[in-house]
Amino acid sequence: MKKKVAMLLTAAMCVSLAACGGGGGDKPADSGNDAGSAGGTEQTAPPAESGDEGGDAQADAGEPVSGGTFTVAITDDPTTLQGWMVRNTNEGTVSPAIYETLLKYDETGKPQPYLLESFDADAEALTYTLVVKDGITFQDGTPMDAEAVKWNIDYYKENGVLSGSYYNYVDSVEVVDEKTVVVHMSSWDALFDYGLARTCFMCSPTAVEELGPDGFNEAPVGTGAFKVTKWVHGEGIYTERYDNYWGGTPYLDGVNFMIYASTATQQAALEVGDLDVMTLSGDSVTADALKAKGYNLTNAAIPTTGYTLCFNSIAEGPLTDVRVRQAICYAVDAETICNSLLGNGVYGTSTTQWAIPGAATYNDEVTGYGYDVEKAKALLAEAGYADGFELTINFQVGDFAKSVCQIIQAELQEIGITVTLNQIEVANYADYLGEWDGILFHPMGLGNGQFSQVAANMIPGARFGGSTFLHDDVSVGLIQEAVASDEATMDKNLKEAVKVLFQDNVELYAVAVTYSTSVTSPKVHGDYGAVQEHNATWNQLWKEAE
Amino acid sequence: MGRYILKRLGISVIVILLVSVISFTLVHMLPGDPAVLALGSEASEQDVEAFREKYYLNRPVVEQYFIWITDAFRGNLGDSITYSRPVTTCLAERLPRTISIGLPALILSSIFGILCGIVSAIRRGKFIDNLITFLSTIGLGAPQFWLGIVGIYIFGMKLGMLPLSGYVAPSEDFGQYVYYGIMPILILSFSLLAAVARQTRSNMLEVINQDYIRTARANGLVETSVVYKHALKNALIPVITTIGLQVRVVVGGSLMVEQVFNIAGIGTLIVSAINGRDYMVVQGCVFVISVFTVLVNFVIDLLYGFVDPRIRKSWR
Amino acid sequence: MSEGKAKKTNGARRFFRVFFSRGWVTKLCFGIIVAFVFIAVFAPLLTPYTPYEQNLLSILAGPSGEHLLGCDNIGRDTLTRLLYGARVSLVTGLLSSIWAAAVGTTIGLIAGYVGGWVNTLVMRITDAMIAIPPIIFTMVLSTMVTGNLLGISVVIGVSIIPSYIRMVNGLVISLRENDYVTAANLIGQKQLVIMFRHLLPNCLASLIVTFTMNVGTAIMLESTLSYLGVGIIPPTPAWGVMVSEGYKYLFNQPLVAILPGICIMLVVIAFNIVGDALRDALDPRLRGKL
Repeated sequence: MKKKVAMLLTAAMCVSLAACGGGGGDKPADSGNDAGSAGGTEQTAPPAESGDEGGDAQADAGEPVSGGTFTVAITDDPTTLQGWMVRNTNEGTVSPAIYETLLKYDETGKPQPYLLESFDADAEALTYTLVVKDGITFQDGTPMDAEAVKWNIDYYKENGVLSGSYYNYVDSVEVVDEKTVVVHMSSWDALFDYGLARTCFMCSPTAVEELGPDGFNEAPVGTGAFKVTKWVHGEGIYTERYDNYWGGTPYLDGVNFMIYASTATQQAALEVGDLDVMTLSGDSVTADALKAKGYNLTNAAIPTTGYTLCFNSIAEGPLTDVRVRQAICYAVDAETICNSLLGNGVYGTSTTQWAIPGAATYNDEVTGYGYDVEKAKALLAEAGYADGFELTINFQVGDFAKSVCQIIQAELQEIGITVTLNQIEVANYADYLGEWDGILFHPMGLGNGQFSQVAANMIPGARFGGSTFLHDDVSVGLIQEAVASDEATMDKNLKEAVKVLFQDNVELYAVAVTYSTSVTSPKVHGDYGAVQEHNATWNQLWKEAE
Repeated sequence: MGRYILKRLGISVIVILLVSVISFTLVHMLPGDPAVLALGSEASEQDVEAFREKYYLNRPVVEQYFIWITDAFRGNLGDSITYSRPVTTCLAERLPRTISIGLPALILSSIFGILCGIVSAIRRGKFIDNLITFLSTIGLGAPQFWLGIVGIYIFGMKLGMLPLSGYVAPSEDFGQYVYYGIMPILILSFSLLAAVARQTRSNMLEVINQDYIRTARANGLVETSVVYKHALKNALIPVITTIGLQVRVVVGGSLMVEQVFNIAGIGTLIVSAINGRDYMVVQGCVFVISVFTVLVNFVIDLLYGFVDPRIRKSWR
Repeated sequence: MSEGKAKKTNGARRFFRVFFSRGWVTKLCFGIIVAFVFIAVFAPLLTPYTPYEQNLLSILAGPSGEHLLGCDNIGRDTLTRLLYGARVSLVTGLLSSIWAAAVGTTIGLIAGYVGGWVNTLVMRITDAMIAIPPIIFTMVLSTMVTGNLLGISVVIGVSIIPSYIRMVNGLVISLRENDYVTAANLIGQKQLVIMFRHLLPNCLASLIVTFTMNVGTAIMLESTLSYLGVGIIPPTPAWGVMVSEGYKYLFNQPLVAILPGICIMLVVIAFNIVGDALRDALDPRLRGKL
């Protein structure tokens, strides 16, 4: 009940936010509070607590002060700053300060107009009418108008290696007047708005044409609150405030993105004041320690990652038997894992699918498999594996994944399954997505909305022609149909597919859904990472004078 | 002598060619498809093909090698696959940082290593010998990244004396350079010191007990002059090799130190390139570092021949 | 016969006298090695836990009566993992050094003795290998093996082979000029006899120093690789893995990262100092001097 109220509040909040977004002067109410409760679980609601702390600190701090620089941690040199090439975490951390998107996710993960006044589709959703807000300019003075929107969508369709396929169904872009663009689609596209919110950073057409793509890479120009002044490769990226920012002149003089390779050095740097914010995921120990020291913790409202066991159910072996897969699910104590590693649900929660209870995409019919060792043993015996067998669990390098896989390894030993862990370098991970041995422990990115991710990554041939890791024909068919039909069928089919995948066929088992937590020093005020990780209300951020 | 130098130079060129083959082979043994890596699993078949074409990845390996090595000798190491910038640009940006940390560390460790080794050998079995050996082996025994983190913990966090990480170029502000660089430099030289000290000590002991030193002693020469004049010269010859070998240890060590102290040098570049399967960068870095080491060894060989005629004779 | 025996015991006595002549440091380090070997062999008898046993309620717990050195990030007993870690580190260290020494010494000895173009070729390849920093070399190689003890040992071994080749080769070349080798050649002794009976013993002292140094290097390389995520894979309780897992929590529960670091350090130091002492005791030229 409480949860529902929170959801309603959140929804109301984002509507009002979107409405007053153009004015830009209003401080975004502590979205952290509501974001927290929306992300919380039923057992406890501690995220609200951390949100409250932030709120109190904000209230005490008094009037915003101008000046100062804000330093954000990244772990490595971004591979690119060209808006249309951005894909990885480090680039994703830097980009939102420089670039903005036409649509932006709200707390529930739905795209809402951001640089746009309105975003309307016709009845069949075959044409979209986009009206750009007044008074937006790129950092080089180029007006952000209908021409710029057309140029960007065309450029993305043509050059965006990663995002180009998001605009496959865009037939043509037509400039109606100075502010209005009409996009003609060749067929209904469930992902068009997600594509605009996810990867379509508006770049200054004049800058790209003048500097060329390579020159633009070193000196990117967007509509964001901060413009890049210097990129020292391997050290960091320096920005200064953009005085004519459409949302109002930023308080901060600049935002610097500095490389700190590990959590430990990030924590140390934060504690001596070299850093102003670090982002944690699946690390309750560090988060709790920093919280105890008075740092402000904010959970992103949109869950970040859904850690999932993906069974290879088609290759010869015990995993082809659904009872074996069920047994493994019964043997894994996801709740205890979440309680111990994710701070009793503060930094993540155990769930039965790629959504948390209460989310729009959550399917209540998926009840999952609780922790029951006896049942697991019985199922194994029934399937003819009473003495157990040997199994490989593959996981991508990462602290949380490493810990969880070791725990699962020990838990499966209890029912006689001997697990070998195979740690995969980030670089090799793509090779495993289509084919793996045994189980793949997959960190499913949920930051861009469940649907967008599922459809983009997991349908064979449907969209990207890339590798896939779905093996069940029924659910693949359902998703494929969902993508190609209409809004109502899509919602229905997707929920059905989730039930097939997670409940009936046990192709997938969700171990935990984690939230991304941004840790800021108490001297920093404003929203950083409350809605989506690494995204902030940049012009509203301010820092108490030293 | 001129012929000797020429011969050594020829040998160095052969070694450089071998190095290019080894680094090329090594890098191409890396598992993982660079195209999929750079473009992501979402990329289309055509994009992947275009990428392979652009970086010659669809050619036979031998052809790839010849394309690469011909360009390399023209000063073009290709483009980084991940960063789409010339590898030489990446190197030029980062090399000065690695040198400004590695070179002082090498010099410091050589000077103090030789001094410690000599003192240790002369006072063999005494307290000072034990102390020096013990301290220098701590440097050898402690993992560099661990030393770095403990250093950060103690001097940066607990005592607040030194900065946690970061780097300032000496040309920019020398004082700041020392302030930021002192911990990485000391930690790096601390772990290099032991090898030099041990080698010096061993050689000194060996030489001290050789006949000609005994003769010199018997002839009534004072102990210190015996040690310095006769023993030192002969004992230092192998030490030169050790220091020459240290060059690559410096590179490896700076890899860890740079990682911990956030210095954007060659080390951090290589680590992310290996993880990102950036063939061109790894190849280029390994090649450049190795060529550098070969050249250092060339100089050392010259010195070697200079001080030990027996070695020189074997090359005639 | 009895004379020979007396000589032998005499030699042994001298050996031990020299070996321990450096006082408490050598004794301590020798003790450390003995203790580590003992721990490595009898680890299961020394602790009531297994290194894989988790208690999710005592994550990163401090030292207590139940867990003398506390617990790690998934609630495993740190002391137990340290004890078992001795096994892993010593095996990796010794295995890689032994195989590198065997291969490296043989190549160096033969090439050095045969000389000519064979030696030139071997030395050029060695030079080329030496020119590549070992961490980078092993990092690249280790991406090709699974992170088990054998695979990592082989990889580390490959990277230290050149140091043996070079060292033995250098010694052999200078020894070759010595009178006794020429003499042995003149009286028509077999090549292999000259190599392994006359030249090899002269390399032994330096070999031992190099070997002990390399055991340390190998243990450290292993920890470095594990730290970088390409070494021994979890949950195997290698010290390197433990440092890398605990390192993240250094500021919150420093014990988990610092203790294995100290273990690595102690073992490496012990091997080095004992090696040094062995060298003094074994070097024929130093005998009788004391």
